[in-house]
Order: sequence, then C-alpha cells, then structure tokens
Amino acid sequence: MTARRVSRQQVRADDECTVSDIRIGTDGRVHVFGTSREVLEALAAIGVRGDAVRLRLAGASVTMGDDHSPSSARATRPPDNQPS
Amino acid sequence: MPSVSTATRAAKAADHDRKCLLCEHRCGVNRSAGELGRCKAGTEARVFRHRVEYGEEPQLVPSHLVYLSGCDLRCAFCIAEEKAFDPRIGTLLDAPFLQQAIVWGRERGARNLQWVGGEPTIHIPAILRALSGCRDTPPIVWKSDFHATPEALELLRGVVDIHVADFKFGNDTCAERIAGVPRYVEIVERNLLLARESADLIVRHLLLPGHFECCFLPVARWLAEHLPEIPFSIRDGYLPRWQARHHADLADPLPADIGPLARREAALLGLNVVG
Repeated sequence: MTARRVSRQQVRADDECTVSDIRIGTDGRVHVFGTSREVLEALAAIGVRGDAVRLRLAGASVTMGDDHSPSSARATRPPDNQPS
Repeated sequence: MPSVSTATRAAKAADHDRKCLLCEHRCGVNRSAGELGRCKAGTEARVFRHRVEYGEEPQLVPSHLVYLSGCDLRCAFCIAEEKAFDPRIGTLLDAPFLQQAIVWGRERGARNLQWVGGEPTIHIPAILRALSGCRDTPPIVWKSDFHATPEALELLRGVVDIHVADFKFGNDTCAERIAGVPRYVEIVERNLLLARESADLIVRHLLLPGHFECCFLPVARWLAEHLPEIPFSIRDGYLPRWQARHHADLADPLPADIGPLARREAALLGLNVVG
C-alpha cells in the first residue's frame, strides 16, 4: 500500500474524563456512556428497572474502601497532563 | 518493579514500529520512518480520556479505562467517533504519565487497568514501553476488536490478564459493509481461541438493529460450540452514532425487546451470559 508521511500537527481533545454521557430514549430507556459510581447511585435512587445497575453497584461495594466516597471522587479530576 | 516479560515484550514489539504487522491489515509500514498504514498511527500513543468506570461487566468494575486514539477498523456506528480514528488526539502516553494514572485509579478503587480505544492493538509497542517503566501495575484488561495478528497476541501473552473481545459481526458481508474489513469472522474466531490460551476471556457483542439473525445468532452459536464456558456479555445499548445514519439498518436505536430476546436465546444455547 502507499505510505504517507506523519503530520506533525498535534490535536488535543476536549477533556471528557469527568463527563458521563446520558441519553434517554423516547421509550424511556436510559443509555449511559462513561458510567461513574455517582451516576449508578443516581440511577438506583430513581428506581431504574433491570439488574444492570444493581449488579454493578454490588460489585463496586465489595472493592471500594471508605475513602472512595462519592464526594471525594467527584471533586478530583484524573491527571490529564504529562508530569514534568 | 516492572516484570521482565513486559520489558522483553516491549523490545520485541518495537519490531512492529519498523514493519507493522500488528493488525490483520498487515500494512507492513515503517512507522518509525513516518510511514502511515490504514490506522494512521505513528510510534506514539495518545490518551484522549481516562477515568474509573462502572459500566463494564460486573466482574470488572470499578475499572480504570484508558482510551487511546486511533483504530484499525472504521465501524460506522462507533460511539467514540472521530476520537477513535485520529491517533493525533490526546496526551502522550509514556511511563511517567501512566504511573501517575495508575496511582490515581488505584486510589479510586479501580480493580484493574483497561486499555481501550479506538483500538489498543495498534499501540502495543507504546503500551508495553509505558508499562515496562511502571511499578505495581494492576491487572491488565485488554478491550479489543480482536482484529489483531497472532504475532500481536503473542506479545500480550503473560502481560494481559483478561481479554475483552468485541465479536461485532456474525458474517463477513456485514463486517465488510459496516466496518470495511474483510475475512472478519475467521480472524476473530481464530483470535478468540488463541487468547483464551493465555488469559481470561470475556466476549462482548453489541446488538445491532436488524442484525439478530445475521450477526447475533451466528456469534452465539459459534460460542456455544467452541467457547460455551466463556462469559458472554450481550450489550443492548446501541444508539446510532457517527456514520450510522448512512446505513438504513443502523439509523434507529435497538428495539427494546431485542436485548431480552437475545439473552433468552443465549441461555437456551447454554452460554454463560453476563452483564
């Protein structure tokens, strides 16, 4: 195949590390991309049907320690820059 | 400390920077010299997102997902859209960045580090270089389209703990039309059998509207025959994204009754349905 040269241009994406994408269909189904624990807890609180939320929260509760409260996770962004 | 195997594999993987045979497009380009193959990736990998997520299969969550830009396929319905296909997007992946990210993820309860994309296979050399420079790495999950070559999978042996394989299409016609990839079924089936020899395996299938008979059923039947014990994750959250509007069959969300129907069918086939 024909090879091409690498562009030196660097493109930086918008930071999506702290965003969950939630879409609600007209039939009432909820689609979540990038599910955080807080989003799961919110969905559980409003009584979303099905096992998907319950199973994932159950799994999380086994491994999450006390220091992983929703508030602390919400307050801290992941590292998004190369350390110096 | 980094494992010897990871450092050794990183050195071996560098061969593909000079003649890339990581995916089954087998472009053979010299990425070190600036040549670009189908995926357009150079020798660097870039992270366009990373975060601890809970939407994966229950046995994986919380999982720290590291999203790398660039992919060898062009699935019309890709939810990552342009970020999946432009390997210039994101922050450079190197050992200092990864070490910091690992600590961050572990502090937030992540049980594992999951490489996703785009497609991580095209970045195996860069990933192994970064991993070999990190301490106390968590279990590694490899979420892939499974369009890798056997040579690429061999590089991951002993490095990856769990493969999560997307078995997207049940026939080559749909794969060619929607993802632009030939010989899809034989490649994925071969790789599933190879991968389970060296790591745990989860097979994932995203239900596509109008593809129950042509894609879901052949996938489920093949798994029932060859890998019935493997966790089979049926995803029913399809929404039309990216280029899906150009395909009449992919232009609408999945009907609500297809997910339960698929799970019942899989159970009848004796599959280990999870998620």
